This record gives sequence, structure tokens and C-alpha cells, in this order.
Amino acid sequence: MSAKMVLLWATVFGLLFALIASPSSAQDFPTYHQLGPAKATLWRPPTSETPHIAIVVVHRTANVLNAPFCSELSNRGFVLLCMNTRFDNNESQVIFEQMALDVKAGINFLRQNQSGLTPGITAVILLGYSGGGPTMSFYQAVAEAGVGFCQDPQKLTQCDSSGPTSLVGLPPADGIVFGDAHPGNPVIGMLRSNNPAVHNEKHPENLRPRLNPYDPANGYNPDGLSTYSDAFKKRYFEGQSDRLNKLIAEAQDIQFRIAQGVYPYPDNAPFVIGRSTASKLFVLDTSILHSTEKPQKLLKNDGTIDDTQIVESVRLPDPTIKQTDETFNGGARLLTVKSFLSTNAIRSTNSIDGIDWCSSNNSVVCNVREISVPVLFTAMGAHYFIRDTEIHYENAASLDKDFIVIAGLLHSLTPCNACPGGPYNNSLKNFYDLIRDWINARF
Amino acid sequence: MAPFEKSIGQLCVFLINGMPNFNDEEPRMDAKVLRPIMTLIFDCLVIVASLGVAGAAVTTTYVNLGGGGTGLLRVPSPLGSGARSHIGIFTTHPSASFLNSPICTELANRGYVTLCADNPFSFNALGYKGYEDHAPVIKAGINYLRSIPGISRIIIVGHSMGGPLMAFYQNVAQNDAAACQGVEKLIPCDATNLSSLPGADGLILLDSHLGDAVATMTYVDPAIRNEEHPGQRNAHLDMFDPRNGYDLKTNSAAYSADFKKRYLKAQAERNEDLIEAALKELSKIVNGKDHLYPDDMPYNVAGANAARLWQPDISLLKQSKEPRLLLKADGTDVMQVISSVRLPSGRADTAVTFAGSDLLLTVRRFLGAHAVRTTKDYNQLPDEDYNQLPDDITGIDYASSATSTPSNIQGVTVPLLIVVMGAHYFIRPDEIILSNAASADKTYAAVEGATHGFTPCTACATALGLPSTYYGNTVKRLFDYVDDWLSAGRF
Repeated sequence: MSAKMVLLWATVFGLLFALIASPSSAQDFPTYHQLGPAKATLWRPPTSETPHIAIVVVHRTANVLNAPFCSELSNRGFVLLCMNTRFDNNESQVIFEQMALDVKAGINFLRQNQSGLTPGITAVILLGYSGGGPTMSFYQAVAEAGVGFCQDPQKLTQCDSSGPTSLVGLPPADGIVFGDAHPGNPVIGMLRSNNPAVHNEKHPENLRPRLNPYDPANGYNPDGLSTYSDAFKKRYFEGQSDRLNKLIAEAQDIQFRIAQGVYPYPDNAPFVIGRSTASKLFVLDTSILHSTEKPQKLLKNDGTIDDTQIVESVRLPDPTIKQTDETFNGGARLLTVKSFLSTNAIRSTNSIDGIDWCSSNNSVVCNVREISVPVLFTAMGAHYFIRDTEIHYENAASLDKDFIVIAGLLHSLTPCNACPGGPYNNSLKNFYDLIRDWINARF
Repeated sequence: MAPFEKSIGQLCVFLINGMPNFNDEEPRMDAKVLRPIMTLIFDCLVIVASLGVAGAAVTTTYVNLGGGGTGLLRVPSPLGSGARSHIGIFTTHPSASFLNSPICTELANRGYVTLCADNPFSFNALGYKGYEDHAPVIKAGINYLRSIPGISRIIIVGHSMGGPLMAFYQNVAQNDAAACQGVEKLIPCDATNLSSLPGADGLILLDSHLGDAVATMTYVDPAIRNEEHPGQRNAHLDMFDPRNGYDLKTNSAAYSADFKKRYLKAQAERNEDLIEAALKELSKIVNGKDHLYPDDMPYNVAGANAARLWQPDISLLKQSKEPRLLLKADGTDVMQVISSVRLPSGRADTAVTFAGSDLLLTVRRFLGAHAVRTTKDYNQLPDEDYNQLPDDITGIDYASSATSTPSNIQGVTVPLLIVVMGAHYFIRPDEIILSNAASADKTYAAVEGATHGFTPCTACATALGLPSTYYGNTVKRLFDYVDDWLSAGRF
């Protein structure tokens, strides 16, 4: 046998061996990674390029392992780490402050190339969509300002600075993209969602007529747009604050009795709140929280940006929340005292513009005041977070900040075909391209 | 020899002995030089071929199963020999994360394609109203495996509380939703997601529970006198009171016959009270009278997750009733009455805490996932009383809950393998499952000295005066046995 032939066959065998023994040498993405109690999928661009920018996507309890951001933004040239927190699937157990530990694990995973799949990462961007906004803003605020920020006694709950849940030494991210972020669960999920007509928490079926948002006499329209008087709106928003303040007092009383050793349990307690998730008056009456206060940028369907106008939400009313409000599965919350205070409580005098933003760690407005890295705020033009996002933008301490409304997109990241002013068929692509361009221009 | 290994071997023999010479003009290599090179190549191929038996290179891929389901697909390369290569393994658990379960890693290493899944209730044990809520993810997992070319047999595996879940699924897949909607059930299952479920070709139960509801019932703490004030305890019925036989230092107990009798009687009675109260609330909901909500309502059950008598008192549920196959540490397999070597595991420290003992449920979740009746004729038919004995647990009306493994397994006819862990307490319970199984092909075995998590119980060995390593590699013993069962030609 000739030397060349041996070399040829050895090569053939080598290739065969590589094919059989190392099928993963050409890695398929996404890959799965267990980061302590958190789960993560890692996405890379389909090309052979080596990105230097990575994006971390986290919500609070939602499964985002396969969220549209993961594929859309990795296809636009970034490494994506899409993570489910330790409270995956379980709202009643959320201790808001602890989720920062999962974000930290994600950042370290990328920067330290723990998987061997993310070499050369020089910038890590946090992407907080919807409930991910409070999560990411809290993380970055503590990372930049230190644990003194989240241990402020003014807040209803404090973070830990020792032990396994300590938030000391969080590595800051290099930038944040907010996508239709809500102002925080306490505000959107409880303060503005509770039905203030409930006057006895043990009997949420009994409603006070003067505060009942579903009473036609107050302006409710079961067939379409409701219209409430200014007087009703004022007492409704104040009533929402009153109810939540009373719930906070009740929870704190239980906490006090637990601490004194005179409560049936030494650690925690059930906290069930009926008619507390659905009664957003601005869903019935879209004249509430309907626009920005100042002219802001609107990314139009044709891809151009108009920054000369007050931006109006094109969302439609939804009178069916009346039925949701009545149910247990849709309208009530099954919480504990701890998860209520940590994730669902904030002090206020009025649910729209009388909020003590820094009484909760779960508050984007308070958190962005501590953040100095570049931030992009986006809001969906067919949803109700346009004004909230403008407030986030106004409060952000970052010198490099931007705010853009995406025309005609629903919170679910689909075009609102039924909304006025369409079509919005290009809006979703525009949105992802906007994020790409904003990041690439800075990092 | 497996076809793959055989073909590689033939190829090597052909190449060494009869490699064609394409160019006679080239100088020939000396055989002394040629042979070591070819031997090296051959050795490499032998290593690759042997991976089909153990240590296969496994590619792990994330799979979105939809509906909140997340899966990790593990594909060994090469696939196992012919008896293995067409089998897909699926597993999930009602509430624990199973993505990296040893079931998937160990069986993939033995040549099987495996799919481990989490579902919308992973980390949320109190969120489901019955196993019907998990059915969509199991269905998606089975369909996903079936879509893989070459996979023609699907085996579902349930570990711990995954056992009752998989028994439920297979029963409904074989017998439709009627299997969980009979009048004997405290509440009929919701059939919304239960039509046309693809069945599995085999079922494996590893250290299986008797059901979510049985687990809760045997945790109901009868020392609680007032549901509104769980801190007020009746010392006469307190299993954690040293005066009743509990040792707070070791979390062990030696209860008197009198205490056991009154404890279990009171446990059954409180359990019945909880069920009746929930049924009253359900009636209000269904009839639309005096209801707070039209669909469901909160139902908080205090003290229902820690007070299980047999955990500290290891004389209870200690052994099998009949001689069974024991996979011993020394590698021999023997038929004998199997005794658990477990250590006491009382939970006095958590029994009075909210986190450790309270079930924050709804009426439907309690009745559908956590409630089972004991037999009504307590103290009248001694053999049928609810009782915990050294070799039995009796008096449970399994059929009253759709989560019960013994009743669901009556509707399962595919081949069934049950393996229990010798350092835990499911030796007799899983024997009950076996005796109820309708499968003509059913097998039961125990792994000597294995904990509930499959690892060797070193502390058990030490407590018995044995070397801590006495029980050896229980994980290997377990999965080698499962591998033998799977590859024996029944699928």
C-alpha cells in the first residue's frame, strides 16, 4: 500500500470518526443552560460571525425561552440569552428582589463565557419587555447604586445584603432596552387593576354602586367604549389607592404578628385578594392614559420617525373585563403576605398620578432614576403604556436615552388590524430593526 | 454484535486485509509501518462502536413543546443497538423540573433518544386542578418523539409524583376521558384537553407515589383543631410531640399502637371534613348560590404537607408483602421479602410553618388534585381500615381521586416496569400498584440501598454498620436494569 493511500484512508477515517463521535461539533442553537434555579436558552446568529454584543431577556414568571425576541434579534446579529427566573410559573411565590440573582447569573454566564459558546462578548444589554421592565430596571439600579437603594426603609420590602440572596456586588449591564414595560406589578397589576367597589375583602361579590366601574349609571358600556365623568374617575382612582393601602396595612399587621410570634404561622401567611386584576378603567375608557404629554417619536409603518406630534394610543376598549373581574381564575390573586408586599404593593393617594414610586422595589420610575447606562424606551402604539413609558423616559438619569412609540403594535407584539390609522403590517419588523440599530450605534 | 458495530468491524477488516491499490506506481509502505497506523485507526473505531453500549456522545437540543412546555431532547450518537435505536423515552413531573433528570441522561448514555420536559406547573405544585392540566405537554412530547425518523416506540417514565401523572395519562389515552370522570370521583376531570391523546407503548414507574391526593391525605395533620388557627395543636394527636414517641433530635419516632390507631383515625376524619367542606363550596359554585365567584374560590388547607406518620417511624411501610426481585449491591439478583434500609425523616421543623405545611389551593384544585377518601367503614372492617402497617397501607378509596396510581393502572395494558428504591418508603405502595396493574407484561424490582433520587444511601449503610460505599453504584444498577427491560425485545 502506498503512503498516499494510507494518508487518504486515514483522512477518510478521521472524517468518519469526527462525524460519528462529535455530532455536536457544529452546534445547533438554541442551546439550553441551567443557571442555578434559572433556565436559559442561548441563541446565536445563523452566520459564522462572532458577535461581541449579547442581550439578556428575562420576564418575571413567564416562559421566555422561546420568546420572539430570541430568534428575531439573534437573526439580527446578536447573542441572545433568554431566561426564565426561579419563579417560573409561580406568581404566588415571587420575591421580587431575588430575581436579580438570576439576571446576575445570566450576565456572568455571558461575560465569563461559562459555556464556551460566547467568546468575545464585550457588551451585555438587558431587554425588559412588559413585566421584564421592572425586573431589569431593578437589577441595574441595584448594580449601579448598591444595595442601599433596595434597602431603603421607605420601601415596603427590602433586599438582602448577606446570605445566599444577597444583592451585594451585582455586575452592571452596559445598556437596557425597555419594550412596552409596565411601571411595576404593584401599579399595573394591583393598584390600577383592583376594583375599588369591593368594601369587604371576604365578600368581593358585594360592590359599592358609587365605585362600580361596570354600572352603566357610572358610564359603563357593555358594547364598546365607556365614558366616565371626571368626578367618577377621581373617586375611582382614589378608591383604588384606598383599597390597596388598606390591604397593605392588613399585610403589614400580619407580618407584625408573625414577628411577635402571635400569628398561627411563624413565617408567612396566605393572602387572597378578590377582584384585583381586571378592573383597569383605562381599558374601558380609552380616553384615560391615551397619549404622551409632549411631542414624542413615533416609528411609523413606513419606517420613518415622526417626532412632531403628541403620540396617541390607537387601542380599542374591551368591555369584557367585567366578566373577568367576576371570576376567581381571572380576577383574583392567590398570594402570600410576602409575595404581596414584595411584588404587588405600592403606596399611593391616587392610582394614576398620586403614586409614591419609591415605596416599592418593583417600580420602574424609581429604578431608572439610578441608572446611568444608555437606555432605549419603546412603547406599543396600540396599548396603554405610552404615557407610563414617557414617565420612565422623563425620570431616567441616563444621559443617553431615547423614547420611541411603535405605531399600531399590540402588547402581544402583533399588529392591531382593527385599530384606526393602519395598516401596521411593517411595525413589528420596524421594532426589531430599531432595537438592532440603536444597539449597534452604541456598543 | 449490533448491526452498527458489525458493519464498522467488517469495514476495518476489509481495509486492513484488502485495501485496493489505486496506483501501483507509488512505492508501497512497509507492513511494519502500515500495521500500527491501521491498528490505531481500528482501535478508534472500536471505541466509537462501543459507545453504543455505554458512554455514547449525546447531543442535547432545546425543544419548545408549546403550551408552556419546555423539553430537552438527547440524541446519542451512535444510537443504541437495534433493540434500542427505535425507542424514544419521555418523562416529566407534575411540579418538579425534570429537564436534567437522570432518566434522560442515563438512558441517553445507553443509546436511547430521550425527551425530558418541564410543563406550565413546574415549580408550581399547587397550581393544577388535576393531571389533565399536564396532558397537553405530555401529548406534545410523545408526538415530537414519534416525529423523529426511526423512532417507532414511545415509553413514558414517571419518577416519584411523575408516576401517578404518567399512569393517569396512559389510562386516559387508552380509555378516554371517561376514565377520570366516573361517579366515584370526588370531582370529574376537565376533559377539555383529553381527547385523542396518543398513548405510549410502555410505562415505567420509578419509586412512584400512590398519587398526589394520597400524598396529601397522608400528610393531613390531625393535631390541628381549628382550621382558622393551625397553631393551636391537640397534643393528644401531635405526632411531633415527644410524649407520643417523637424524638426531636433525630426526627425519628416509635409510636405506640394506641397512638397510631388514634392518629390515623383522626387523620382520616379531618381529611373527610376537609373534603366535605370543599364539596359544599363546590356545590355553591356550581349552583350559583351564595358564591363569591362563579368558577372557583380559594381553599386554604393548613397543616397538610408534613405530618406523615411513616416518615419518622420507619417500622411502618417498611417491607414488601411478597418476595420480590432485589437488585443487590454485589451484582446478584434475588427474590426475597424486601425491607427498606431508609432512615427516619420526620419533619417537625416544618410542620408548623406556612412554607412547610400549608396548601394554598382552590376548591377545584383541592378536590381534583389533592383529595382522596379513606374507606367509610372505619373500625368496622379491620382489614379495610385506613391503616399504616409494617408491610401495608390500607383503607384508601383510590378510585375517589383521578390522581391515584392504583386505580389508573387498572386501565393500562401496555408493558409495565416498576422499580422501587430500597432506601425509601415506596416498596409496599408500589407493590400495590403492581397488584392493580392490568398489563399482562408487568415487572417489579427493587434497587438495594438506593435513595428516592436513585443515589446510594451512604448514611443508611453506615447506620447498619456497613461501609458507606456498601450499596455501590445504584444509579448504574437501576438504569442497567431498565435498559435490559427496554431492550429485551418487548418493544
